[in-house]
Amino acid sequence: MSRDNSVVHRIYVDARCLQDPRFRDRGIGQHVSNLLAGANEFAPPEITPHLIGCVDRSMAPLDGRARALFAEELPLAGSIAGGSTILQLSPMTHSPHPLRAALENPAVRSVAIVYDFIPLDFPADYLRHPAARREYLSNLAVLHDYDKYISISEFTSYELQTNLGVMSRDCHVSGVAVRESVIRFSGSAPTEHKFCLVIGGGDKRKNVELPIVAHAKSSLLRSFNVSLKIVGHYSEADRNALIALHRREGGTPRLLQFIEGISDGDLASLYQGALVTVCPSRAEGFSIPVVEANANGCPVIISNCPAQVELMPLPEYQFDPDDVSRVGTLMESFLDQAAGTLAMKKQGNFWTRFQPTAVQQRFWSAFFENDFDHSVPEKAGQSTAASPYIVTNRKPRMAIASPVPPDRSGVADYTMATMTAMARYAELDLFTETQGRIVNRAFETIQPLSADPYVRGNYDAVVSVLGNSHLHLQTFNLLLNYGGAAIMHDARMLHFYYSLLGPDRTKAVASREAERRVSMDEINGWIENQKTMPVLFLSEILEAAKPAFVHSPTTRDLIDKLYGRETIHLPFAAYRARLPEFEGAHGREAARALLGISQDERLLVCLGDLVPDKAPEECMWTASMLREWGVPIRLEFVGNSQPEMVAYLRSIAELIGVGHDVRFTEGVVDERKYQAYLAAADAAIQLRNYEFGGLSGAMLDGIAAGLPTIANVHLAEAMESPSYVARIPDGLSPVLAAEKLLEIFETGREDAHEGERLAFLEAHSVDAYAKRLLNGLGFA
Amino acid sequence: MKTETPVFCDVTELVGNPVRTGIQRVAREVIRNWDGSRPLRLCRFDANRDGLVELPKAATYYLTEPDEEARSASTTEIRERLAELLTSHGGKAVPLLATILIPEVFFDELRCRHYFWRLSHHPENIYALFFDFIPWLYPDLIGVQRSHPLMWYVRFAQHVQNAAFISQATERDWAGRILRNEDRSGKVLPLGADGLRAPRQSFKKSKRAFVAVGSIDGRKNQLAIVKAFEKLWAEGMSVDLTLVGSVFEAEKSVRAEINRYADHPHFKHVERATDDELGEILSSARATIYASTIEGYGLPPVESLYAGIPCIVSKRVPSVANLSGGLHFLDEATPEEIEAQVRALMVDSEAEKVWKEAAKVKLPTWKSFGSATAEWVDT
Repeated sequence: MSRDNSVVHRIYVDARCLQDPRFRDRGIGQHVSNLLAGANEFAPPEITPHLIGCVDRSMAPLDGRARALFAEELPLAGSIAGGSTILQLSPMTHSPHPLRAALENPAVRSVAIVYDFIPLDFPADYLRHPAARREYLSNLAVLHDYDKYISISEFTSYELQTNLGVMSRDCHVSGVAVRESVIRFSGSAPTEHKFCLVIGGGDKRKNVELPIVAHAKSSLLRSFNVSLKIVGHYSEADRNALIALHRREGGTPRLLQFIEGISDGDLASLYQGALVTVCPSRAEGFSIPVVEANANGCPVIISNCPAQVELMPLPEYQFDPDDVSRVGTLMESFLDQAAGTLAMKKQGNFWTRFQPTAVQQRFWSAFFENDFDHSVPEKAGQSTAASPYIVTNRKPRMAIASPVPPDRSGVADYTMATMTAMARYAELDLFTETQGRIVNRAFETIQPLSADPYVRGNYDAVVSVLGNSHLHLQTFNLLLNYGGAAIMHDARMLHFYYSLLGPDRTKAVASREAERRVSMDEINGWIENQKTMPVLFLSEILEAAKPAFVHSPTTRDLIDKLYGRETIHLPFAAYRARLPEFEGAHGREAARALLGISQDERLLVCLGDLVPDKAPEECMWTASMLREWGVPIRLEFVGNSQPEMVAYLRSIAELIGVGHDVRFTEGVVDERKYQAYLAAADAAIQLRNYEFGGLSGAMLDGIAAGLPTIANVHLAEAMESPSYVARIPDGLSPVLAAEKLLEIFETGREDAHEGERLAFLEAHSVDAYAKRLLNGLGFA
Repeated sequence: MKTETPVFCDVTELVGNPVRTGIQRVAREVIRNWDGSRPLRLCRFDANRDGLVELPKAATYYLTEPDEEARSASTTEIRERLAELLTSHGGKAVPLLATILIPEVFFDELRCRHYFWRLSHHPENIYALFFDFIPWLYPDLIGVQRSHPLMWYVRFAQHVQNAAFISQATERDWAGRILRNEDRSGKVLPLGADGLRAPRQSFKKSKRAFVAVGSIDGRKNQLAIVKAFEKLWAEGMSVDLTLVGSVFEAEKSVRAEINRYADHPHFKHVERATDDELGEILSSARATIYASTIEGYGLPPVESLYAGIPCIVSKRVPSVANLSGGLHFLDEATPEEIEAQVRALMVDSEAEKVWKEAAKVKLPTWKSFGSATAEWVDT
């Protein structure tokens, strides 16, 4: 919620530690959850923090509690707007690569929470394996790139400055909050026999052996039946070993107890009932048990590791982590209740500095310290990063992830054509799965598609080109994981989801978008008739893509209506150049001769791959109507077609009396023949039985060639068609199509529309497309 | 003079869906009011036998409803009884030379192709009544998305020689747009206006209600009517509006709009009304309103006139194309036009004048329709 007159500050939070079950429910997860919960309360009044949880989609999703901490959720390493801040919750536990690009962006500030450098102190225990060492050192290297550090203790902050050479002015300390659920605020302490308490755990550095041996050796503690309670998870082997140690050192087995899996309330009771809490750890970043014990009125005796001394500096209650005798003496001293009272008086209520709100307040004060620029651009996709042109007088460097020819797809062709134009204005590297010889007119390099360009951070923009075929599956996954710009060629992704991502994912996305449970039956119905589909399956793409480009104003408006997301409209570019051989009236004659079209025949073409969505039955009935009206019509489906589809349509053509008048090109049409059809045809018919703003590359070819065309209203408007595309209603009627074609045939294919055609080509040129794309990416 | 060979009336759609409205109603009236010199026998297309088969005589009872028992049977009951009859009586095949009358619209490819076969041999024996060509000429208005399954009927319409139409508008569409041959013509058989069976009404100044009858299907502009009255009510005019007709499932937004007025003291929406109930509603009507701009015929305005009640009607409704008395015409059926016409009729002198005109209008009846149909086939 925005505060009046405040500036919204976007904070991109690396939320992986909250996704990872190893950390989510433990110290790190509890610490960061508390911190994030205080953002709104402790931000300066002139700032409204907008927390964005950046997640790794390959990990478990955030649970409900974690999700509630964020205003929105985005993929990790999506575009991060200049003027915002990255908050790294756990810099040493996950790979830093997804954030590299953002860390190197001078317009983006970065803050890291630092916990400890324990692995450097105990490499044999924590960095035994080469892979672990490499990962740790790599994370350390990147840790240096942050602008600000908020450590959990002064000791950690000191080590940060010592180990990494970080400036002290960039370092702050928040401490760690004691959970209120571990503090017993009222009621009398449980009356139980006397015991000393140790909060341990299987980590060797916890040094639980020290108090165990000290306890075992103490005949005094034994005679007063003082037990030693160890809280923490130990494997059976470890526990047995400790029990054996205790027994060997003279301890009474019944006086050594292991407790695990207890509630916070029970833990609080233990603190309150203990004579003393013993904290023998050899190394800590911050010792929570010291604070928890103090909060519950329990005196502590601590090993003299710096992080613990920082909390409780009284030397009379400290011991060397190997000094068994001292620990024993200290434990025995608390048999006298007065000693405990005195200790509490001396140690004081230092826990209050670590109440949750106090820690939040220190953290966010440090976070929003004055050197941050809090102004944020509100418009999605707008970067305040200075254009490379202005800063360095160089062309922007862009990575393009897309199929290209020889892959057979309209999108592949389109990418190569438009990027060839783009290459005048940008340095382009192609990342692709396309095999075979690529005729390259656009790219500096061609590399295999991988996560590299997304994480490398050395591109001004990474553009994922998306379509609804298998050729785009890998790109789709990379976009969802790493974000970046996306060009969305297809507004319908149902078949993509269903056939490539599986029914379960399809149902999940459909249900989320429809905001209700969607069944497989319903989805199967949509596959049969996409007109009934109320969703577009674009939510995941739209979450990840920043900015997102679409080619149809209809799609842009539909996305805005259904998803409330702004996308950038790039008018579809006409990239197919006319062959000189077929230009003008002579060229048309030559084309007709090449195709065997007689002078009196009226050639009607349906361009593009032959698929059911193009209503081929209606096209044939249109030809049939014209034949009934005495028009010598010839209908040709010019495009790739499946044999089963052709056989089916041929049977329909025979039935309705146009068996001799309807032809199909077999297989892929070569470019010269395709151009011949564009020149030779008297008219084209392009129909779609669905609406979502979908476009037709083939129809664009016809428009670019000045070919009079019949199209249904939705398609014609989505293509921003000129007047020589005659519209019929979206309820596809062959009678109305045939009527319009009669008018076209009566007028003849004149060049009367030449002016309009040229104006359309100028507005839809590949050069104009490249400039608009650059502008949309922020490279004005 | 022809011999008394029967005329076979193909009522396949009526047998399969024996509702009492729409096209099926017309088919029923043909059967009920047939008075040709040749007897009328009923048949249907049986795809299993790839041809027309006679219906048992008992089927006529359920399709003509001569008594109260038949009229009170539900559509489901009639369908079930007909199905039983057809199962127990196989039915003789209708000969190739037979004269066939088709008073229905159908899209079944096999049925169409059967008629192509008949037409290829004896086109003179096939008589088809055409209602309208709206699905092909105005597909968006009635929610047609793909019309290729409907095109067989258009092909049939193109091949029929003996064509009749329920209006001149339909005839013009057939000749001008389906055949593209203005020289072709057929017989216009206007539908009966006496279907309401409501008592003839007379004008009283106390009549301050306007009634709009017709299913709420998205093209009859009932919302425009409601908006017109909303303006009048806002001015404090005491004038009632009753809409009679069920709302089509797809018209959710229309239903939502109509529901907004559910509690308005001057508004009523009656989804379904029996003849008696409709008669009761019309007895207080100063005029009816029919604002549909695309129709095959448009029975409600002429039924209103038959009951003596004037009608505010769109000039494009074919049923009123050749009428003038008793009517106030709308050009575009906008709320403003409707409001203006309602205001005009709320002036008692104007209303009295129009009521007098309505009383004099000569209108066809279902009996005359049946006779005209028989005469057309006979000659």
